[in-house]
Amino acid sequence: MTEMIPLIVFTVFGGIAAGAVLCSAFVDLRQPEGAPEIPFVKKPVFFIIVCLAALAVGLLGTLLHLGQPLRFLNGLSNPASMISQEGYWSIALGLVLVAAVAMGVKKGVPRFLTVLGGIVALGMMIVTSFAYYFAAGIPVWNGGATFPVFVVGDIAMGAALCALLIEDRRTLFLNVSAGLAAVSLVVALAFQAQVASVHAAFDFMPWTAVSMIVAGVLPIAAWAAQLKGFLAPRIASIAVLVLVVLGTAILRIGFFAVGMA
Amino acid sequence: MSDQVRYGMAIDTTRCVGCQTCTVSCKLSNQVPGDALRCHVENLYEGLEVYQAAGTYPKTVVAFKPELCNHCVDPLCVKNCPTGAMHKDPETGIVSVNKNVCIACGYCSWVCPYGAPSMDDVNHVMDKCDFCAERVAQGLEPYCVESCPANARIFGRLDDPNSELNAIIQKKQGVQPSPEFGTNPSVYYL
Repeated sequence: MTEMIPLIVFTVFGGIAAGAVLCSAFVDLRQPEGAPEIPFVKKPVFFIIVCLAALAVGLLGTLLHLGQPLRFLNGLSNPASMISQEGYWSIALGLVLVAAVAMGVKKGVPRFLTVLGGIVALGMMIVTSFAYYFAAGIPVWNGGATFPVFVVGDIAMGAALCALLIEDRRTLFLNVSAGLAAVSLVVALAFQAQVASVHAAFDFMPWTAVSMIVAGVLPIAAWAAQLKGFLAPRIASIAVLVLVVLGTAILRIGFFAVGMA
Repeated sequence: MSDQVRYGMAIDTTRCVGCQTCTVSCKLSNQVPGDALRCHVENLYEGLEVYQAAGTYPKTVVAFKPELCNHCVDPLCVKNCPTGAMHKDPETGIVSVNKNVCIACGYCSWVCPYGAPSMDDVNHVMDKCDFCAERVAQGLEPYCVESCPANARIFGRLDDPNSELNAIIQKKQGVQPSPEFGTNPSVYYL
């Protein structure tokens, strides 16, 4: 369990950052000329700072995974290695976010940076899933369901963060989050089938069931309650974010547990 | 004979008695630290515990599969090592780890289909079999070969068509483990 924690921290926090940056690439994070002053926490740059902080926490997680963390720069030496590529894409995303913070303080984030960030974020998610997919020594990860475990999970967490922090697009992102929560149900079942076909002795069903409830059913319920007026949109967005992150983390704990069993 | 040396090994599973002398000899002689193992013995029948009998009485059998790094021609550990610490000696084909560079991310153990690299939990770097490269350079055999009481291991040059190693691989129709991974192992099982 202990050796899994840094991997969970990296894939969840780095995944939140990548997912949120990808989702935000589809909306305008610029502030119109002459727009009234808004509190800092409602500015696009605050959203970017939160993404940057999540990415930083994720990258710190990777350092804890290393037996020799002070040598981490050595890990960028082989472009053919998925681990090196994870490093390249993560650092690139960090640099884009730093630039977005620097340029976005006054007038919001320039459009080219949000789009560039989205591309880099997508690259980071895909490379992360490749790193596990290509682990030939761990057959239970070598199936197609490994990709959505990371890519869909990251985007679902990111959309939920966007729903909370990008207030003027909250309804849009809550709808996207609900849709992705439904997709998460299918992803959990697909990975369950992958585990059952490779590692029949491992009882993965508890991980699948709990993650389906927490990352799938409950966020949809919160979204529906908000639609019906039982929950304020802000409260609903907080609930969806907490549930999706928790449920995604649970599925990934199971993912690493079955791989390292 | 080609210019490039390629060391290899044949392991005769019909001779191995599962005594673990290879495991212990390697561990002691190479002073392998902590919990790391460079070679170990598994059951020949996948999924069974090491000394568990396969089959049904009276047709039962106990057989063993000693495992070590296969020193593949196309090693996945070398291809996927982010640091370049895992490397293949172009002059001998031996795959080794440079412990001064390794960051101990453990990815080599994930990508190796044979689970060969293991964590040196004392020095916090990866550890693996190097075919006792220093001994081999002196014309000696690896410790596991020299210590095997059943003569179940044959070490030699795969690049030499006239070597004893190639002769026994051909005679006993030796097979490489998991050839589907395309790594072209230098260890053959007889």
